[in-house]
Amino acid sequence: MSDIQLENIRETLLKEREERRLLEKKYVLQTAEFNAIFQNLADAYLMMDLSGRVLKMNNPAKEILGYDLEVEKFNLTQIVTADEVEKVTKSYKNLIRDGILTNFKSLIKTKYGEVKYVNVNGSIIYDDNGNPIAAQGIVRDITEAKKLEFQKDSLLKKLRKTNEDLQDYIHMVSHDLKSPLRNINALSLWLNEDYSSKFDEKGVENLNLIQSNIERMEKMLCGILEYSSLDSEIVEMYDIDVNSLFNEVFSTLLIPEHISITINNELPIIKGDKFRLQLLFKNLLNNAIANIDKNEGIIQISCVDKGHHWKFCVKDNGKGIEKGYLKKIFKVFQKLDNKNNSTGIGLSIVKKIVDIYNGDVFAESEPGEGTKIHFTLEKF
Amino acid sequence: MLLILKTDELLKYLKILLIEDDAIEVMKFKRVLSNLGLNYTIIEANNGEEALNLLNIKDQIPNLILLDLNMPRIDGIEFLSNLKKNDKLKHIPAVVLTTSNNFKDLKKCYEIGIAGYILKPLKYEEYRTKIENLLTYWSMNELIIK
Repeated sequence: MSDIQLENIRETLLKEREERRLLEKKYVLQTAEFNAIFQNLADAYLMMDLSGRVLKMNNPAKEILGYDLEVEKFNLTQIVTADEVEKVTKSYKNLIRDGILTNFKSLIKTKYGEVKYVNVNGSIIYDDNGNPIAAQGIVRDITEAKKLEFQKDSLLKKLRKTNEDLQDYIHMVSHDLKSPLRNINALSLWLNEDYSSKFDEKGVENLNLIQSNIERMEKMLCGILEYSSLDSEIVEMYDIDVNSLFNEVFSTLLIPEHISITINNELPIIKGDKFRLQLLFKNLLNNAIANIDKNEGIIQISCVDKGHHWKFCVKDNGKGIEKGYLKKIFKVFQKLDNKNNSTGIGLSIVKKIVDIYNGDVFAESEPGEGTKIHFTLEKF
Repeated sequence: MLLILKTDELLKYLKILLIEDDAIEVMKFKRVLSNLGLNYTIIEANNGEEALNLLNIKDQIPNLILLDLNMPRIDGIEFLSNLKKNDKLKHIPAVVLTTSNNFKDLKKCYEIGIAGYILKPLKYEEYRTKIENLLTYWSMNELIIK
């Protein structure tokens, strides 16, 4: 071999050595980088053989599980709680069969006996021949989230219960109040019937006042019952022809002869529930009727299609509402004058039903001229 | 309006069990009946428990039961369930007289099997009309007398 040839070989070797040195350096760097990522992952990482013996873990895994592979060897079975053994065994088998496990949730117990709720995503590592040799998994501690979810659920449950109790309570109270009221009504009427000769004009007048006050209280109790019964039933939606709904409502209302009600345009068929919609229109019409102070009362109903919702309007030529009170009228027990037939509940029932239908309700008025109540109902 | 029938023979004898815990309600009921000229007997019970005890006495078996729903001890619905489970008593028509127009109660009562559900109106005159019509109707019915 010539010197030149030797020199070439030496150069090649040096070059290769240099390349190898660089590669090794790169490898060390990459390993360090990988290790840093591996150790600093927010989630725990575990690698284990197929029997569940843990081979590798990162720092978060130590924190979650309490075990440290550098101190002691441990097996997957040690961290499974007694109740979850069956579930975990089954999904471990599935993991080996399918090669992947997604969002598996389970309770585990740490080395110190603490129980945690975790979410696991796992996969299988295969050898060059495609045989499974190990399993790896990312474990996330979701105990806090689970606790919050549980708290939220139990709060919601409590809230629902409290609401139901409250409704039952309102129902019971207004109901129980009705009985003595009915009795007072009968008794005062009998006084009138049986002792009419003993009462003077003033006495009869007072007896009549008792009667009219009882009627007013009865109306209020009925209003409260109506208002409180609104939430208790589940809304079942079906097609309702508002035209025939109106006709049904008309037949149940006492409409004085001097008041005419006209429907300005063909009313639509809407999705809704009959019970609430009847109550809605009944209360709107009663409100309009009660407000009419003219010799000739006119109530007009109209409806326009606004795409996502229907916009209705009930217009009367009654005494109207001053601007400052336009918002107040939808609050419970809020009334603008103390007439016998007003309970202050009607329009709050309207508001409650419109709310259930994800709509809006507002009043527009010219005092002395009349009022327009506009409301929208979402198309379901 | 009250239907007026010419001969007394057409009107059946009513033996009514009235289950009502409110004394004034009972007074009202009796006041209506006293002006009605029907052939009747009223057996009174203050609650469902008392009524069930009364129904155990053979010669006290009524041919019409009128009952309130809200009552102490055994309430109307519980009473009705008991009544309709009893082979010897389940034939007796039971009519509910109540102030509750609660849909749940109404449905439950009809499911158990009632012969009517009447809302007690506030006004005594309206109450009188309803009771008069109710009893006139039942007087025209063929009833089982034991």
